[in-house]
Amino acid sequence: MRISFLIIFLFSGINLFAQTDYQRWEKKPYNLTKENLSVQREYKFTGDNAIDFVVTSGISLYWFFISDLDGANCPYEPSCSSFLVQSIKKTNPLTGTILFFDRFTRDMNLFDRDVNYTITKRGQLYDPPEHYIFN
Amino acid sequence: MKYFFICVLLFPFTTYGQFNQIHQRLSFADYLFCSRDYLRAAEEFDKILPEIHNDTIFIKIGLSYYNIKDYPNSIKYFSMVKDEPDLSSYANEKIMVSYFLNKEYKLIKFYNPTSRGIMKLFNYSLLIRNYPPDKSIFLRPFDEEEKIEAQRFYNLKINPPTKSSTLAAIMSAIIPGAGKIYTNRISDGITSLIATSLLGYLTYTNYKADHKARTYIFAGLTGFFYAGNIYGSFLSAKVYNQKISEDFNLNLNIYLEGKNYFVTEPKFCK
Repeated sequence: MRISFLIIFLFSGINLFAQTDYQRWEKKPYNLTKENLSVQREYKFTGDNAIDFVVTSGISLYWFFISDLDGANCPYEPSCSSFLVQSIKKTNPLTGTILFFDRFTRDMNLFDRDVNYTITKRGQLYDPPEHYIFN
Repeated sequence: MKYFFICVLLFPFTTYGQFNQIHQRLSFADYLFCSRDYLRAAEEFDKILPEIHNDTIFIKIGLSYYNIKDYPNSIKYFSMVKDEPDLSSYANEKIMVSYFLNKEYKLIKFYNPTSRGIMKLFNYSLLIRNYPPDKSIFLRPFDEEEKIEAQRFYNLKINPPTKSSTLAAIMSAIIPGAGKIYTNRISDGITSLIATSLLGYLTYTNYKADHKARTYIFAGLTGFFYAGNIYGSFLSAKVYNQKISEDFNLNLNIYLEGKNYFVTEPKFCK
């Protein structure tokens, strides 16, 4: 009785840490889609005031009908349209729009890009509105 | 009686064992320190402190924290060095360097007038804090060789090669893109000139051809691009100036790191 109990006791430990064969080793389902972290787009047709409503709705329509179909072609991070939304949020509609036109001019320039901007992991030129807002 | 006798015989062995254990721990901590495993070395030295505490151990703990950029702790341990005059002066220098690296420039003081290294560091900290002293006072502690670099940094601080943001905006108002060219963004300036001129030309031709709607659209776009170019040039000068200031601090830090912040390091490892 004692010996059998001892044997069972000893082997119970082995059983606990034994390989669990019932867990089948198989391929996990894989996902080849690439998460686009930079374009966190919020499609909105509302606004705090008239200007905000016009800008937000206009940008949302542009994203929905043009940008999403055309693909992420803007070399900048954030893209020019996101830059407009962010700069208006961070400053005011007039300054934000002027900042956007300055960005758009810089977007047309094909030279010295790697010199003037930091290049992100995705190969885009990092140029957020914070770089142009001075207190 | 017999047990008492055995205990008396064994007592020295037990105390020796404990003593030996502390010294083994000290050797291990030294080994970690010399292997640059500073966090573990600091922990090991810290455990020895209740048994053995001397200035060398305080310095080693301070240096361990200093090397892992934990400056408040390094200052704490360097401040405990009091007995040996040489080590005490070295620890004081290291405290000042720790303040400097921790950007607590106001706390840098030179208690010991012979510590020229700290005087040099203090003078550089004044440059970083934008309180440059008179040139002769600033250059006083430096050797002839170091004076050339010190003079260069001093001149860069007093007369930094900055650009005027107002001038950049005015230049861009007169000729679109000129302000950007002034702030070394040549290609941006040329693009701005082409974009604004082209839109202005389109506005003019549509106005001539009496296309009212197109004239309004192009005139609006020209206005926004023109305003963007002026404000962009203004900001471009600000960005340029900020880069000058950041480059100054970066180059100064690289230079001081190369000079080991004017502190001569004692050799604790072979």
